[in-house]
Amino acid sequence: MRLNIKRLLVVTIAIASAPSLAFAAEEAAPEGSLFGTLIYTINFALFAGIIIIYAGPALKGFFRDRASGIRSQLDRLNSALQEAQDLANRAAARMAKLDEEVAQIRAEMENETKFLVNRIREGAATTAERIRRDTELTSAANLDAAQRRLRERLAANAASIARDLIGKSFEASDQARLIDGFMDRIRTEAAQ
Amino acid sequence: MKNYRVARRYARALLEVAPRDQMERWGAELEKLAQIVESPELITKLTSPELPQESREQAMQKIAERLDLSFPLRSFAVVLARHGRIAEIGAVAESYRDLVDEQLGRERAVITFAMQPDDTTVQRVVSGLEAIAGKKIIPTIKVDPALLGGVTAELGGKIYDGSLATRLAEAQRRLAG
Repeated sequence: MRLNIKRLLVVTIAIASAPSLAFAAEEAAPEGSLFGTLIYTINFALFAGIIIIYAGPALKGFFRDRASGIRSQLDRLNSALQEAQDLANRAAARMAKLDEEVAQIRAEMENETKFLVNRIREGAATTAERIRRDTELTSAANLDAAQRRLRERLAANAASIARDLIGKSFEASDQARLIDGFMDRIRTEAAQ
Repeated sequence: MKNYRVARRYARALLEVAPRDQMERWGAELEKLAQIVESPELITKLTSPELPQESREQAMQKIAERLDLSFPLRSFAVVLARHGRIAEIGAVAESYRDLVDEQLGRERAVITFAMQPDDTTVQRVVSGLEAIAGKKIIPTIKVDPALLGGVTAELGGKIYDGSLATRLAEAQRRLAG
């Protein structure tokens, strides 16, 4: 293509300079004469003929190539445009769908959140109830244990004091009384 | 661990050959023999598998002679050694005593007092126990100050408890809830 353009320029310059040379070689023609007009016409016809003969195929090829390039470029652009439109359509559809999805997700999230909140609330209530019950039971058990320990300690102290008193004041007469009681008991058993 | 079933068989065999007037004497001799033989160092040596059987029998015979036991008891000691029943001699003596008691219609009781009793008190308690058992009671008297006061009696596997310590313990238990 570039070669054709170069050739065309060379030919154009060569032809354009030919009538000038003819004018320079001849005497200046009188202005507005028919001959002058004829000469100009012939020159132009020669010029046009040479242009058509020599530059015609190149120009034809140039314009053909150019047209082909433009057509293919146009096709590409059309195809790109089509793709872009498809993409835009898809994006629009997706956006529309996305809005739906967002709305659905939001609804699901709200439902899930409500469910979770309820579950946590119920769990918390159950746990609180269990803790309260455990605390009551533990408190009751601790109270019982403390009371039992207290009673045991009191009983042990009382028994200890009683042992001390017996040790200090126990006499033979007390022993005799106890043996009498023992004898009564075994006599009762013997009678049974 | 004592094998009372085996011991009772040996005791019954000895009792069967014992004349009625010698029963108790043989029992006392058997208990004396058992007491000596069951001392820790002697029982270990006499029951050791390293000791030859003949030496074991001779040892038992010598012990019986040294204790001046009657001839049937010396023979019985050798029989126990021959049959490998030296370890059961204590149980044999106990079983023999029980069998003699049974035959003579009497029972043994352990009576524990909180303080040393006089004879009248012992006799009162023994009489009471005889009334329960319906047999003559042979008492073993013990004194244990831990009872605090009163008396306990063990008769035929049953305990009659009239001690202050037990009453006090019961009162303590009731008080403790």
